[in-house]
Amino acid sequence: MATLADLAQMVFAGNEPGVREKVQALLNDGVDPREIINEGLIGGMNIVGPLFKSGEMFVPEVLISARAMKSGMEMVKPLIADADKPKTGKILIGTVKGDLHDIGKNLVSMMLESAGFEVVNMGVDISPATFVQAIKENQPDIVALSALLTTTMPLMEETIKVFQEEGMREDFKVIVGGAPVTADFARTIGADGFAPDGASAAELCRKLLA
Amino acid sequence: MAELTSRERVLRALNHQEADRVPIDIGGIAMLTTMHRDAYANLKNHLGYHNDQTTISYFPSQTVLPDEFIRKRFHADCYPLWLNPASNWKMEIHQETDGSTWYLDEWGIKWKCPADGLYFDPVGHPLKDCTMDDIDRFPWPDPRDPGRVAGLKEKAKDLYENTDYALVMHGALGNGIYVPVQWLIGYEDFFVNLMLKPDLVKVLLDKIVEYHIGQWDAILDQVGKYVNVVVLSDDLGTQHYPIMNPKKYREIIKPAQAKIAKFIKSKADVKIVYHCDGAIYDFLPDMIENGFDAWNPVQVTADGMDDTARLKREFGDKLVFWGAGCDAQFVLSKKTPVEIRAEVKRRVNDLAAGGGLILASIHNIQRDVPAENMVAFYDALYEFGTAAYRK
Repeated sequence: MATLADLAQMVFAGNEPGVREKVQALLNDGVDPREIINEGLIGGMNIVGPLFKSGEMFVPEVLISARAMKSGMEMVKPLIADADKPKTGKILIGTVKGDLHDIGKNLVSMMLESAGFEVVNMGVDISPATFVQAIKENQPDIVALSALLTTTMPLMEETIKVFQEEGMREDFKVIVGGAPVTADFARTIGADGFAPDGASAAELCRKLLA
Repeated sequence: MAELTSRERVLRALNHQEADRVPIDIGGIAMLTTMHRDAYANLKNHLGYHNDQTTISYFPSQTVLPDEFIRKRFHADCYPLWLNPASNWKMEIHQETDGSTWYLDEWGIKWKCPADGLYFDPVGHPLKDCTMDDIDRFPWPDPRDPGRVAGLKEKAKDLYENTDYALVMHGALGNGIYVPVQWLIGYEDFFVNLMLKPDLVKVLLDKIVEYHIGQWDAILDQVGKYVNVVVLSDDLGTQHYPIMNPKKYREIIKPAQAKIAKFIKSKADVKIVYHCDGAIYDFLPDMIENGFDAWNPVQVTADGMDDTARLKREFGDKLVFWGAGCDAQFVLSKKTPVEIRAEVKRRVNDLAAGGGLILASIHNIQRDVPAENMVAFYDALYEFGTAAYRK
């Protein structure tokens, strides 16, 4: 009989067919889909996160775990009524204008989804105006800005300024990240938080919305 | 010690011997120790001279070949040589309505620069989702294309006989080995396939290795006796940690790198400088095992990399540090000339003893670095590099 712990292990191992098999078996056994998500799928990523942070798991391994978890989620989510879906929060994430880098952002995206957040990943090279439009459409709780280059970091400050000018800055929290970004820089530009990696980002978002 | 020529100075450094001063590289590694074209324009303005000549040394990074005035002013010791484009390819830049520009290179990879952007990044991957059959049928460029090396021998001979610069030769594909596989199939797909379809990755790596060996064979036939250094490159670290499990690297990537290094060394008496960014302490012994002589750029701001004294102690007898001049993420663009000088002094003190140091910027200088910082930085390399070996 498949257990939730088995499913978590499959996620940890990045075994997508294994995840789908366990999810099906658990559903067949009548296990509550919410438990499958929380204990099995999110549970598996909860093993990955700390190991990634401590340098014992690496980007390729985390990517396949996140993909396997997502695959399992796609099977289970449709079975949960909207009212019963966990409301951890909605996060809008994008790489700022002039910057095409996205692996780090995508990893953060996946880790946030794995932690139960709803994530709208806008992609790369996103102008302040495009962020504003997306904020109006999505009403996020958190807006996450990514930049890999010292030369595109100033766009983070500019983007936050535009949020202020639009009178929307108080409606959500802003977090920033990327290789050259630091906590000091985040403070200077008026962001609400900074995280150095995907695992920390999930913790930070939980704290900000608590 | 009497003053040496640039070439003698660099060779002494590469052979772990002190010289009259620590050699300096500005633009010798054509896409890694130079400056962005906007930074170059700023520098020329600041120095109060004008020239219409801006030679782009590597198109994706929009970096320049510094002119002779700059090399002399700042005592640079290295000069780059690179291949011609492939005979059957022509640069065609396309402009989109959103202001971005793009082109396809000779491998079919699409490179894009966003509107108001500074460089081109690979965004179109011709072997995305490929099968083994697709790999077989792919129109792999010919490493023996004579057009790529036409005129190279004459140029190298001229530089060798008429200048005293140490000559640095570059190959194809940005000198990368596993990174071009990412360009061909996509960054994320590469990482996923590394885990789930390693055989596919190995076949692609084999193709790249085959190309590089053919290319270096052709290159070194022409210039092997004139050039001192060749460049190889593969980033293995992020800001905070290795990009992949070192075990996975050793199983799949390292043998490919080793093959190319071994071939180059068997073909010509040249040193290999290997470019690798990020938090890569774990890979330094592997670089040495691979036969890489020097490591560029020594990104001191990445985790575990700041203690350059420790890096020298542990690896300095076997690995030459090529770069290391100044923290490029938090100091060079953001601090004052006084602080930049202090940073350069520290790095020179940590790394110069016994040779094995060639000073350069840590990656290309970007346009957000004020020109007065650039001048302070380059002048500090010379000042402290000279003091380091003064007896």
